[in-house]
Amino acid sequence: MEIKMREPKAKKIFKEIKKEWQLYLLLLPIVIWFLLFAYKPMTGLIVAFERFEPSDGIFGSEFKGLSNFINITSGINKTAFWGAFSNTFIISLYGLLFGFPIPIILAILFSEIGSEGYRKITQTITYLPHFLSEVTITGIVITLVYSGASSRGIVAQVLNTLNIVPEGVKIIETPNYFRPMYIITGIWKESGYNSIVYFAAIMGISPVMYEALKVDGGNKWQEIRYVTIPGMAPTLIIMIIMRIGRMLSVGYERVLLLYHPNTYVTADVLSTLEQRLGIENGGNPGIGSAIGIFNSVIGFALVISANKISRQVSKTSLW
Amino acid sequence: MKKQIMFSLVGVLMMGLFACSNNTSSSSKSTSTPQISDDLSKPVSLRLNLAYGNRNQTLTYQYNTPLTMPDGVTVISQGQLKPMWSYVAKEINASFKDVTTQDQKASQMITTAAATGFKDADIYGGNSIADNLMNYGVQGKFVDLTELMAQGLMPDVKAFLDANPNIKSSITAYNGKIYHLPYIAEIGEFARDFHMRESWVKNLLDVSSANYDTDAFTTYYKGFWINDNARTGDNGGTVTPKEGVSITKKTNQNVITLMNDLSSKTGATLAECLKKYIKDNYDYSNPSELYLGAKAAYDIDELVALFRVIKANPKYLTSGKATVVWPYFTRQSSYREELLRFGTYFDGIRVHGSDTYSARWEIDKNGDIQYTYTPEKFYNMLNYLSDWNAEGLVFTDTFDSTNKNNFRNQLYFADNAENAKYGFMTFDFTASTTADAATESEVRDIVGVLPPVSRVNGVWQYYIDNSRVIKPDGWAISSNASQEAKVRAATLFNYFFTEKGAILQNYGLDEMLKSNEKFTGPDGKEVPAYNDWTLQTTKQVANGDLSSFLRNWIGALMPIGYQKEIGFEYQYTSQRGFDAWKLLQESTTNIPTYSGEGLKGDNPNYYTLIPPVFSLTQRQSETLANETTIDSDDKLFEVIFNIIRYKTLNNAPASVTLPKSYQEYYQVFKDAGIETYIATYQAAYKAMKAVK
Repeated sequence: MEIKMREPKAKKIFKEIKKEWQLYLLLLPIVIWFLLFAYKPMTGLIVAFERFEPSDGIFGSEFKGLSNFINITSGINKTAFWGAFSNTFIISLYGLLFGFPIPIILAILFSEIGSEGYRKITQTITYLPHFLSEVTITGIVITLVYSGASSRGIVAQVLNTLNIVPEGVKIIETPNYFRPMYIITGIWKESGYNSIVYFAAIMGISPVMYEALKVDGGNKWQEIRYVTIPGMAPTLIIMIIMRIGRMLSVGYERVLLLYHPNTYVTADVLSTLEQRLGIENGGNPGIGSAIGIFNSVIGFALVISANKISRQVSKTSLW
Repeated sequence: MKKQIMFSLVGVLMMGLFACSNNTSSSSKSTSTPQISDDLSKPVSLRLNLAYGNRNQTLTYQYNTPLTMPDGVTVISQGQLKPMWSYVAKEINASFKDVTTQDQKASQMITTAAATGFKDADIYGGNSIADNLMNYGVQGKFVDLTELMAQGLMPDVKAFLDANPNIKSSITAYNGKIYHLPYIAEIGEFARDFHMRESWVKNLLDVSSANYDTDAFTTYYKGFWINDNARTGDNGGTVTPKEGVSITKKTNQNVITLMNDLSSKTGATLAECLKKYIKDNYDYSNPSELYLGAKAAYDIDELVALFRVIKANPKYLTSGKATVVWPYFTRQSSYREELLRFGTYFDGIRVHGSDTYSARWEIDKNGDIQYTYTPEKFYNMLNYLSDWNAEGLVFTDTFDSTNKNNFRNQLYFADNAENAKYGFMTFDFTASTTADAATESEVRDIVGVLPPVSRVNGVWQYYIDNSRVIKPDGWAISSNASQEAKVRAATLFNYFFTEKGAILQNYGLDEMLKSNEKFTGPDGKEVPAYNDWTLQTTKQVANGDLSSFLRNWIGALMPIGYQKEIGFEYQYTSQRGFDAWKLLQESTTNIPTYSGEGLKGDNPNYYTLIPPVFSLTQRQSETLANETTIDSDDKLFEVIFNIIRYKTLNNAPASVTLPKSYQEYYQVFKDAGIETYIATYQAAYKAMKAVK
């Protein structure tokens, strides 16, 4: 009897690469990209444990252990840090509650439009704001809500007239208005574009399912409830896991462009605090990096948790 | 064996001693520094990284339209060195390579350069980076200029610093060395001053029967010179705006109290009240003289009274074109700190110890620096300004940092525009504020006025807490530059302190100046006069702004290490601007200086400007970064303006908490580590002073 020796693993991989070399060649740029832009910069994480001095470099700066972490969690910056931490969660949560369902609803609405031409037009209109830069979008928003002696934006005028916002109140400087302004701006900018993935999921549902429901006497609402939404479920779950993973990465540019020292109490998020303490006003890069690491570790834990919960509850997961 | 070891040890010892004696002799030799000279016959290439956050202000010409020079042949195109720099390069036989990232801010540039070891250039410079240059210098990243001077290089710089010890000590690090040369503005000169619409004051106060407005006006401000503090007799009863001119206030009346006591407050009643008050208290031929001209003697309460009259008479003052006018404004919201300068007129509160908003220091009678934003008197001043704001005396957009408009253009220079907005008074540079209208149809009547008279440092006087200073801008030589580059860079640094180099940097190239003709300034000094080409080209390409033309097109007036002169500015000043300068220069108005001369009062150091930069040790920098948020927390300074905006009217937006008392106000700073911050800077200042 011939005994078949088990092939060494490395040899097996090499053989596999040799066999499918075209695919691996295609993969190569993205691997290089990850190495250069995702893994190599990780050496910079050491800055969070240093009193970083640019002229001494990452490896020449003085090692200070956890002092930067102590500074942000229980030192002079603790109020700003924990405030930003809770703002990040609250803004993300609002984004999830109000921002997440809108693209799904839009996708369902698009799928229900009978006229293809009309659907394409409405889709294009809703996608457009996505292609404008955050600077442009926030510039438009600030102009719309601006209220000063020089000029008053149309949204500010309408809100004043409807007595929703009292005359003379500057929306951009009022903490209570920041989160609605941020969420609404986000919905306006991204809902249309984000609906693409859900729309694609809906298009992937077999028409047979709808026909079967119709035969059973189901109406439009029941179609959506019993066919469309369950058909989209895997996509929804993956998107929600990804969204939870990004919970601490609130749209940094938009906050930075819309916030004001008076609105820090509701607007300042970890990434803007990281930028302010780490870079601006002769900032301390060590403290900025410490906030960044804190942010990433919590984000990582959230993704793992969301994936695990999803796997147990819905049998769908990212890995 | 033992003997061999003994001999070996003795041998080693002897060699060691010999080596030591050699070292001693060499170190004793180094006390007389070897002299170096720059061989200008040998060309040297210099790389310069001068960042100003604006591509137009760097070494190279950045406009799409080429500039044809007066000879009609030389054409400067985009990407070429600006003409002044080409000229200097020839003068010192160097070739300049501009390695600046064109629109990069200086603060970003210096961080990037530090991270790459200051290797990409031989010379680094920019605006507001003097503290970086000094601190990196102490770490050995920049060349010690004192050593270069000791080696015989930069003789004109040395002579200048020796002649100006206050400047020298202001740029000397705690280790006694100098690492950068700063941009020195016209030291000892007035910087900004107060300006008003002349016709408004005259129309309000000198017209016997005017058609004043009758809308109701609400008052909040209670006055400063009231009760025991009433201005009368020894307490400012007689003041001297000009040598030989005394103005006496006859009674202890306070105009704010009189106005507040009026049963009906309208444009008409307020104006009549002010006119009667001036008549009862002063001997002016025209009431407007209390504010305008060389005999002005108004205090802060009398200024507020005028503001009120203006605020209450918008239709009368604008012939019905506006229903709202703004008595006071700053040039833009980012200049809102200018409003705080009124502190001087509330018993001499110092707000900024130098001509930069971040210089929140003053020097006390013991010679220690003290933070200016935390004393109770400063908090009280914020409350007075809040009353002003409640009365509508301050342009509301001044506080709105999201508004990037130029209010001076809107409120002073656009009277003929549709829906024109009007402002009355501002504190700004004379030449640009009194500039002639772009069109002849637009009649402007903005004039410079004396500052309010006040008890300042315990002495009644005219005082503007703002003068030309050593700027936190400048340049330094990288320690990584080659020896020949260091020496040639020193020659370049020195060049701008020679007579020829100073004229070049202050006025531009010879071909831009009239030959054999000088311009006589209002101070009587003769300066190089510009020829027609310069003035015409400035009009064509830079809307007549000579300063911009010289800096952005020619490459002169850049904030590198040099001493700026005011002569160029005289040559694009209107007659009203000259009148304003003359008014100030002939008055008794005092300003802060580095030498700190002034009328003897409560604090001998009151008039002393603080240094443009503080030399901090690494430990001190670390303390500031880890134990304070004073410099990093911009919310802290928003509190100040929130008090002004909302305190009196009690209308702060929801979730914006205002300190209700001085104790709460101080606590905000205490939570940000103000005590550590002050102690750290006091130690740094002491160390700098000790070096002197």
